[in-house]
Amino acid sequence: MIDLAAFNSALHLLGSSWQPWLVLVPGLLIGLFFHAVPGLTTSMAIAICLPIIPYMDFLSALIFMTSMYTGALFGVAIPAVLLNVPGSASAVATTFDGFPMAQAGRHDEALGYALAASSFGQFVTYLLLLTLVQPIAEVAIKLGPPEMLIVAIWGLTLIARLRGRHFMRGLLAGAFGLLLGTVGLSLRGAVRGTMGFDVLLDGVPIVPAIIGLFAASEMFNLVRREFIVSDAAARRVRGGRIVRGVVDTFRYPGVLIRGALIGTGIGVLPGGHAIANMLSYSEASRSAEDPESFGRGDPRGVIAAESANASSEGGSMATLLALGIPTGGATAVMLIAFDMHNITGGPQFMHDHKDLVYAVILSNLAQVVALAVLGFGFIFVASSIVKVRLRTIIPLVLSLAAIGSYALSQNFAGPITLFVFSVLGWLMQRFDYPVAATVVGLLLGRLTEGALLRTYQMSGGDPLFLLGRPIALGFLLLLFLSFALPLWRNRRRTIRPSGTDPAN
Amino acid sequence: MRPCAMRPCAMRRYAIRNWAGLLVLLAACLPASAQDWPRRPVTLLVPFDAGGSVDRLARGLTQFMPKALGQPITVVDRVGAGGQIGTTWFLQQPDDGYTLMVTPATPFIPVNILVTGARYALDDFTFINGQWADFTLLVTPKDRPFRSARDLIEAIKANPGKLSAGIDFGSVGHISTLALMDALGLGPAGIRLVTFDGAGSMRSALAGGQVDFSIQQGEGGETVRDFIRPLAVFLDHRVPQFDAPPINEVLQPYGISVPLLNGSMRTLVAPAGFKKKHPQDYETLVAAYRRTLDNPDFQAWLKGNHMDGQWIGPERTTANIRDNFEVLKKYKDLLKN
Repeated sequence: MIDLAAFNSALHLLGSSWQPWLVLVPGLLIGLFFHAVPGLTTSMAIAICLPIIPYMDFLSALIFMTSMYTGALFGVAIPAVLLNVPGSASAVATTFDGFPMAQAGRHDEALGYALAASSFGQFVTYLLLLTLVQPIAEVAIKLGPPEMLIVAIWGLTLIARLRGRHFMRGLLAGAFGLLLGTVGLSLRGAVRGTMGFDVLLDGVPIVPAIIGLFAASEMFNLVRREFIVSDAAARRVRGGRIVRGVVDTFRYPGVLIRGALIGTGIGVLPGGHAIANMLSYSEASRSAEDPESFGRGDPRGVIAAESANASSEGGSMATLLALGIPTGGATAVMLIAFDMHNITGGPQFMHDHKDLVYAVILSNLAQVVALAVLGFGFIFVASSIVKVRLRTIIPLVLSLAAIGSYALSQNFAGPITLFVFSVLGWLMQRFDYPVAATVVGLLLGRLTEGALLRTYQMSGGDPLFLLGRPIALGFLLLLFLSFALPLWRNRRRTIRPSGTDPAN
Repeated sequence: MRPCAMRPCAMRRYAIRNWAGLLVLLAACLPASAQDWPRRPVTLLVPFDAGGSVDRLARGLTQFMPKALGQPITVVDRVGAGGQIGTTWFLQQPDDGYTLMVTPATPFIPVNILVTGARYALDDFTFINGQWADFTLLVTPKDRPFRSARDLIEAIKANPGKLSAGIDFGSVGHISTLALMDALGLGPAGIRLVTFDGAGSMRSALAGGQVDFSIQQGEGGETVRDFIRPLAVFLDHRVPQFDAPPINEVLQPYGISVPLLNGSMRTLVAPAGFKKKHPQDYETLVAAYRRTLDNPDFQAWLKGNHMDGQWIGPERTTANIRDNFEVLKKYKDLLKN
């Protein structure tokens, strides 16, 4: 599958000049930093770095941008684990088990798991890209609204897993999130639930809403505690524990590989990178022998979320590099580099510049190795936050979040959203409604609605339309199996109880 | 209001002397000429994303226009709701000429007004020049059997309500699709309209053959060119980029025609109040902008970036936008449901 001549010429491209390598480490650090600080985002980093892009040669520009994303993909995990603040939709599932681990004093391990899973996920997806970029892209382009709809519904089933203590309250919270997701201008031009505010035409600002629901409400809960980690002895940063997390990650190869495959597969769908982490988490907990341990600090939750999140970028890169079609995230931004260097994307690009494509993918593999080293140091610094008293952290995080949400929207829509959703999140937690279910609904609501509407429009309302879509049927079968298998296994276990009690 | 009670009066005198000194310094910094405008940097608002085509055009202007204007220009991107959020913000700024806007004035301002309930009117703006206009293009995925626009039209007529068309809601392509169906006497039920969230996702769908045809912007077609077959251009003449006849030439045998709307006209816009209250300054702005367009370096830059730098002037620009507005108004009710 690899074009050897182009591969050699890619090696030559990367080996003959030190210039492309020069931007790799700064790119990684910018990505790590901008996503590790709550309130800063990659789009801000890009906006700041945009003016220097034209001064780099094309390969350097691509490497610079991809390394920013490589760093960012792991960077988002840091505040998600330490503070319950997901910097973007793609880190939501990391908080589910990451933050409980941190609270239990296992912050070093949790970040070690995240780093290893993130690096592994990225490594797998780029290896897949290197060998199969063309076929992946060709399949990806055939995926349309019906396939997207099934994946989105699959993602929504996660709501049932996040139920907390009361099943019905979980469903209600999820439905509330779905409704919130419909606020704004619909795809058919209907203005819904904006209460006359123009700023809501694009929907509820997602990142401030998530931070409000998750982080701010959690901060209010922690207000009476002194430290994130209650156990004073565990309030340290220990390199050994980070290493243990990294090593132990590979004790769960099934979770890791499934995450990487889900991430790559879902990443090729437009907007897929936001769902990949949730879908993988959902699948990991569904197929586990002891699903009830998820959400209470199970490392497998962190691994599943991180490996899928990391590999989703590779999936979307396939369609960009092979077909010139971005599906969101880094790839939309990479098109700017194409534009600035007067290079037209599209299938012709892959055809004419195969060496360049290989060079970018190879440099991504190198970035992953660099990330593993840099990320280790970064964890060391970032983890020190557990030594800081909560009465310092809480106001700091909340004000950073407020400033960041202002910077994101450039008006008061951001901070007001943050405030409204903080109060809402606190109230929900107070009355045992799972906020995570609302977040999943909010994130997937718009996507699901769009896919459902387009499927309906394309088919003219005829259900037989699905018969002409083999991939959609395949997805439907997978969805069915992922539900049926655990049920079947449970039944078998109740009939013939065996000593397969999981090691606690 | 008891300043002397708060701090010693001597201190206050000292402060006044300092301020006076500062003012003298400031006055010395001002240009010697008695020019009224601009005395400080000008902000150029782009109500769309950084890196998009309008943004890149605006950033080109920041490179070349300061020479003619005598003041630096900065670009501010305020994204959201098809330009409506940024445009609303633009009209909330003082109309002293220090905040100008570059935007695809048509179709976005008319669509904001007619469809999404923007609280502004065409009269709130002074349209200076539609510098770079795009056209629309009828395309079909390559895996479809339609070799010409006529093939497609025959297929639509033979199977009413069966073929699907990809649209980006409220775009000129959307309106042109409705106008075409209207002219064919089929109405919107004649095809399956599939609404995508943005031109980008629609182009991916087109490349993947998810829909049967689409009327979309000419330039954007570049990225998916290998997957599509151009069938007709919405212009009164052929263009070198795409091998396709003008749409009304195709429709002639049917005895019908459709209105030819601008795909997207990137326009320099000032608030209406600026021209009314400061006519002299307005003239300064127009002259400076024209000098910028006449600058061969700027034209070379535009060419290198695949942009246009045409001068059609305020009258023709405004007339064009008003024409577009009237056509859009005619199809407004179709858009709304």
